[in-house]
Amino acid sequence: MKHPFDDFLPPSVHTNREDKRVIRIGIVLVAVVSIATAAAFATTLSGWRGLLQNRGSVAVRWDDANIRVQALVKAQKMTKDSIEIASHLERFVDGVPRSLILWELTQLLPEQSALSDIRLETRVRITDDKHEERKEMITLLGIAPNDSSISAYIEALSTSTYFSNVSLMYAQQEGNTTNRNFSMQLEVSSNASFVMETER
Amino acid sequence: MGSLNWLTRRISPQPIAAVFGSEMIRLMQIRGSSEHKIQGAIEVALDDQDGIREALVMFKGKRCVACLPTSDVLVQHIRVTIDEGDQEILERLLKHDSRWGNAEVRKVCIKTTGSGGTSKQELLCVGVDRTLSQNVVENLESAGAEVIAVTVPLYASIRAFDKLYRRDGDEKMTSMLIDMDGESSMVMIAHGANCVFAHKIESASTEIEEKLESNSLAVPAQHHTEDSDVNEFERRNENEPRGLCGVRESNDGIEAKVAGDLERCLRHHDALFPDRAVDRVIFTGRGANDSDRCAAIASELGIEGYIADPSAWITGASECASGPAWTTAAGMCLRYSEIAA
Repeated sequence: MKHPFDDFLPPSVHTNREDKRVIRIGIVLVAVVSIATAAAFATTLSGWRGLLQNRGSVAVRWDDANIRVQALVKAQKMTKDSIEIASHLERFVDGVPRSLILWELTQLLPEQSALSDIRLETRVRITDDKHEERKEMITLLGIAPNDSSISAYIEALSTSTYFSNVSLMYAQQEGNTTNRNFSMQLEVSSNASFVMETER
Repeated sequence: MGSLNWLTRRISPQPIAAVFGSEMIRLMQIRGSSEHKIQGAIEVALDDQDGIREALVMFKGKRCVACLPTSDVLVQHIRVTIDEGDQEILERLLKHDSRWGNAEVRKVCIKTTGSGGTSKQELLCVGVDRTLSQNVVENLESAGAEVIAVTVPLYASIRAFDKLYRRDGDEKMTSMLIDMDGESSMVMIAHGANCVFAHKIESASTEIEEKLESNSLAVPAQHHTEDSDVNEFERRNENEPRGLCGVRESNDGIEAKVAGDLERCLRHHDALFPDRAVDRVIFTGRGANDSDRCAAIASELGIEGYIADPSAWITGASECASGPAWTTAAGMCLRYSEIAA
């Protein structure tokens, strides 16, 4: 407990001291806050500069990556186009050459028989395992002197390595003559080999 | 907030007691709140500003409590009605001395008499000239100290004996303290540790001063007193003030003015408290080094006399700050030690 005789300084002196202390503490606080703000600003500025440098570097890399991506997309498109072209060409390359088919059909034809029409039809079917299955069907229309010639022609085509599944569609007399009009259908063997026979 | 203040008081060093005498400043600091140990004690000449600055370096901290010399203190007993305000009290004081006009006044109620509308109170008013206290503050602060309070010997000297009045019934002990320093002496009468009377006697010790100087009793300024042979006489291990029973009375006696003033002080006290008589007289201050004169005063008053030496309660003080001259400084240190505890 404070005694009245403890202190004879006027209260205004203590008040002034308190005020000065508060002002001093305030100045110190302001200084601390200012220093902290300046330090934070300097740190942020340093970070911002680093960010700007990184941004330049990132922009260069981004442009480079863009060019690379465009080149890659272009290359992919070219590859895709090439694959499509190759696939398209494959149809002509992988099948049995038409000349060979025509050659075989005409060479096996019996005497006094003639073909009036040859139709080649390519059928494409997608299998369950999503593979293309290509089948070439030939429809023949012709005239033969008799039924035996037609049978001989069917026999000859069946024994050919280029054809399979030979079937007669119809055979009928042509007008008042003894000639027989016929139609037959056969399938080109997909595994036919390109072996040109020199002589038969 | 209270815990923070308590923690601050515990951690920070105790303030330095700076007692301004007529010629020198006594600086003292103690440490420890339970067991008091001397941190440092030194005397510096009043006008030696560099010496004060150097002396302050040996203490911990800068906080100071200054004590004005007795000559600068205004003391007056007045009897006023209970409802009388500060302005009326000041006007009453101005009738006694015009210096009260510029004084910072503190008052304590000593006794209340009467009842109802006629009730009156005896006030002990103590004043300090604001200019003088400001000078003291500036003097110390220019030397690097921070003055937290300015007090007077009247209060500080009594605080030195607080340890004597801690038991039940000690408040029944009535002591008269005579602080003799320089041009003025302060007479205080305390019931236990409570001061109930104070009076300043002007020019009471002038003769003593002259005598002290001629006998080379003055301790050299700016030096520790630990090696002084003079202080060997003051050392003791008792807590009670040193008795004057065996001391030879001075043949010169004391001057009539002092004797008359002391008699009037006793009569005033007896009038205020007729059921209490002064049990003992304790001499403090530099003038109390003249034990012959103290014995003469005690004999004149017919009261058992003692010479104060509160250094017994401060470990290490007997070597560098013993004797009655250090009573006020020790009282201030013990007071702030009590606050810190």
